[in-house]
Amino acid sequence: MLIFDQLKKSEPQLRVFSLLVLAGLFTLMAGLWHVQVISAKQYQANLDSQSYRTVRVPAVRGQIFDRNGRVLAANRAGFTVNVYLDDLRHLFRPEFERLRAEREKELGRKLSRSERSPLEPLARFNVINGAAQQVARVIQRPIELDATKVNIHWIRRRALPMPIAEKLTPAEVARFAESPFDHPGVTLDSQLQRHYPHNETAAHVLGYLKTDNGADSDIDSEFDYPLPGLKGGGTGVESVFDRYLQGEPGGKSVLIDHIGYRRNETMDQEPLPGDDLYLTLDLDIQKIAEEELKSKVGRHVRGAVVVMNPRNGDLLAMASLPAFDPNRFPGVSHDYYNFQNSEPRAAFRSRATQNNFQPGSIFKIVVALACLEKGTMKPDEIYHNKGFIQVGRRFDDTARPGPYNFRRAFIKSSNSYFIHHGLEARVRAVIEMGDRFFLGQPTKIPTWQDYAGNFPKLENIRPGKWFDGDTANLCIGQGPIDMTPLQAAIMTSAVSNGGTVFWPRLVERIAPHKSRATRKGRFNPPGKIRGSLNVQPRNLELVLDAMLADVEDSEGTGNLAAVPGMRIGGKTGTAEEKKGGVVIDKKTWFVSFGRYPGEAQPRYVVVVLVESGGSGGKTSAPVAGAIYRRLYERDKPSLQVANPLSLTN
Amino acid sequence: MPRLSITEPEPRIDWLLLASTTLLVTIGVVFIFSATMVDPAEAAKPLLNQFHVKQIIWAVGGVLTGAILCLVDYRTLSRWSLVAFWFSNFLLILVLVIGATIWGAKRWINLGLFNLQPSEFAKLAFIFAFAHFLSRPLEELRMRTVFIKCLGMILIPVVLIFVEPDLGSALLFLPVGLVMMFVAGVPAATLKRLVGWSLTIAILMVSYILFVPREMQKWSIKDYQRQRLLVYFDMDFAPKSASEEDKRKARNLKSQMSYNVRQALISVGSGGLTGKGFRQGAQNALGFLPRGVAHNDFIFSVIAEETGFAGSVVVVGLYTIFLFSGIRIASQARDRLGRILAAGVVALFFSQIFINIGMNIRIVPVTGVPLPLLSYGGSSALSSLIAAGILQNVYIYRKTY
Repeated sequence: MLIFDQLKKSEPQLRVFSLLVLAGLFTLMAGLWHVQVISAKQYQANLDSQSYRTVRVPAVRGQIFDRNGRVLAANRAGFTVNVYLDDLRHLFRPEFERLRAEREKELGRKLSRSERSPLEPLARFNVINGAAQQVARVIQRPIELDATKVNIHWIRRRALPMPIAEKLTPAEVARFAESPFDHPGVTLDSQLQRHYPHNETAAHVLGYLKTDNGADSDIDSEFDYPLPGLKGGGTGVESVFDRYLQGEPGGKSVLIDHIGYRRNETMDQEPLPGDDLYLTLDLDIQKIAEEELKSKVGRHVRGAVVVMNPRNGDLLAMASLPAFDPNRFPGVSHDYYNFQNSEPRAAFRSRATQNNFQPGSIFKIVVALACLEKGTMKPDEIYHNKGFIQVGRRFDDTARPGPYNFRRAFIKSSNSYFIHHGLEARVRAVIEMGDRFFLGQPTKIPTWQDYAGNFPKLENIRPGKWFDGDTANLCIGQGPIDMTPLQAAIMTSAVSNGGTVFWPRLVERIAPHKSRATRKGRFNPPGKIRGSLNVQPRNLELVLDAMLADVEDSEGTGNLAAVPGMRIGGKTGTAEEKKGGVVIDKKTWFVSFGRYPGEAQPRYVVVVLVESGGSGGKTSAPVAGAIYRRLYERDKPSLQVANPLSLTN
Repeated sequence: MPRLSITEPEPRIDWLLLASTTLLVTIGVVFIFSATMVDPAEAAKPLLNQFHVKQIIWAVGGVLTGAILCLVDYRTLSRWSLVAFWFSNFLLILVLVIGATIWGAKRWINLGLFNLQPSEFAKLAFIFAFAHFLSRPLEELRMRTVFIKCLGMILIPVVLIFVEPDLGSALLFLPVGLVMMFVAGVPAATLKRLVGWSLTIAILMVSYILFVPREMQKWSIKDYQRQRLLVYFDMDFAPKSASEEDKRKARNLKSQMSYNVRQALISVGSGGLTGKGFRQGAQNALGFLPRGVAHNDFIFSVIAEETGFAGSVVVVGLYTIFLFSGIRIASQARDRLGRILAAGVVALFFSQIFINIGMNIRIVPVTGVPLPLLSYGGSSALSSLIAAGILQNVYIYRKTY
């Protein structure tokens, strides 16, 4: 080559020098080859990691419907005023200089480095707050920014917009949109917000959303900024079915500069909307249950109502009061939360499934079945009630002394009668019968509020550990026995439907959004059988008759639940909570079924539990009665058609 | 090669050298444009204040100065070289007194219109004067007194520049001086001994700086210089015995200190084989490559990111043409003065190229050495072009027979 030719003939010093230069240039080329060709990928990755931030884009959350397709939880646009820091950044420096000049004039000297540095966040805050206050004047809502939070946003989330006013009312949106105000860096953004159109209705079943900070999810760890996202909080179907409802979040990349401000963004993956959820609840019945519980007991009632279809275990209503408003989440105020969460209010607890209550006399249904099956109790045999019964200790009877057969003992809820027969049949028979109802076992209701209750185990019944007094106590639904109202509803359903124990069904199906044609839904078939009571139909009939009599007989404790046009059977219960021998609270029960004349099986099982009530008959039975009355009103038009067809019974 | 015609004129100037010089300066202007125009504040400045325009003006000035110098035989010029040498040393002292302190160093004299960086011209004056000194008869070069005078000539500007402080520029004199002495014919054994001693002293000094605890060092270089060395050798800033808090601070500082190199490396590496395209360099556009240095000391990062390995090959290739043209000119020179002069210029260019590009790919510690002909900077552009002019001068007045 031309430029190297000369080297051959030049003198040795220049030749050595040439070789030196050549070696140096070769070293450079080798180094460049290594950096730019061999390691290029690694450096490209370094570049990406320092210049891109990935942001999770939440998908449209699936809706929740009742069994008739009425909306229980939906999404609607919420409006937020956001500040985009990258649009305001050019104002930060002048403000800093202004502050600095002001301060230096005050002190009459130059500021040291350590004195200057706190002025930087202050300058940023002043600029952002200035914009915020301008917005506040326009939308006529006071905005108070927290300097610390603003600084944290600037440090951690500089590339993302910073919300300064959230959940704008329509009036505020209008004021903002109509104002001539055109401040750069401030925009009105809309995003979907969860909306529960019926507010507190079925709040416990639905649950609520919380802000997703992404700390506990695998997919989120892939993103630098998992927010803004929402997910089901705590309990309820929002939480249990979150992974269906949530859909698949998309992702976008935000290109940032070396200070971390946003340059532009690209959507890498569009989010896919979540699945819809259809519940077995009937919105009308749910509302009826909640309204009647309130209207019959009082506004501050603490209690629960479960309405179940005894023919297949479908839950038609599951009410628990007091209830919270899920619309207040996320971002619920501390005051609201603490008030609702305070005892004894405990509004976040589902009293239908998340609270163990002593069953009291409603357990006599199980005792009766046990004794009848054992054959030790003849329905017509007379037992003389002395007003109490002595089993180790004295058990008082609320039923008056006198002669009692089974029917009379049942509708008067005689403690002596059932203790006497329970002891005769022995405790094993009672526990074995209770086991057929799966007492003390979870119901697998998918709300993460599933209490199992308590029930004695057969293997624990041993001489020296279990005494007759314990048996006597158990026979009247006291001692080591607890139930949730849902368990009571399952029990009542099994008795009233001829002996089938169903799994309760709350979720009917999971339906993918229409835009996701290839995704499969899931259907949860009704009438999933859990077990059978295996009792003689004659004995079941005796108990059902006694339950009907409890309501229909004017002497029955459940008489206040009676509704003309409907055949209602029930059993009252009053569980006394004692502390040091003094009654401090009463949990009053009414378990019942409602059947239309001419139909073989009842349509409804209604269980009512009220805390701090008077008695099952006086407090809870009227609630059930009112619910049945309205159910009857609702069903009446269809009954006139249905009746002639099913007159067989 | 048979002459085709007796009247064919010998080429007056070295076209290959001129072509490579012109191309390099053009590439420099183009990528200074790319490096600075991403900043809207720069783009908004009046045209005459924009870096690439200023660079064009300097380049024109440099070409003119170089051309004017070519009108006078380098032998005539060399008679004034000692005057230039002492004048430049005077400027180096002056800069310590009245120099503008920028980033903690006094390297510039404010001349109103522009900041003069005397060290850039001291290099040229030194090369001229040293070549003049070394062009004495070969026998004299074997004398000890001459050898000591040689060392003195090298060390005067080195010390003056070192205390500015500008370690990188100061150290440049050593390879240049060494090459010139070697080409001039100073006995190889003497030079070997000199190199051996220099290396030993350098290694001892670096070890002392790096390994002796800071508080026990009676004399040392500036903190930031030591930190650059620590970064280069990838050593911890804090001693092992330091508290966790101190270590954390030291790690932070190290990460800050190594920021430029790290970002330069990412720029060069992410350029890949073919680059991202003109003005598409993300590192530069997003500001990760610091704006303050992208157009001068780190201009190579910008070129490498936007044009990839292909562009690097072109740049290094043009430098190769330039350097070997220089060496060829040295071998064609009419006398020893010309040869030593050309070799000195080539050595200066080569050292700067090696240090600057090497710094971009982390094979050389960071020092503020510009890339000749490419980097933005008035003094640098002017002195590089004058140096190219000196090479042309040696070529023009080569032996013609």
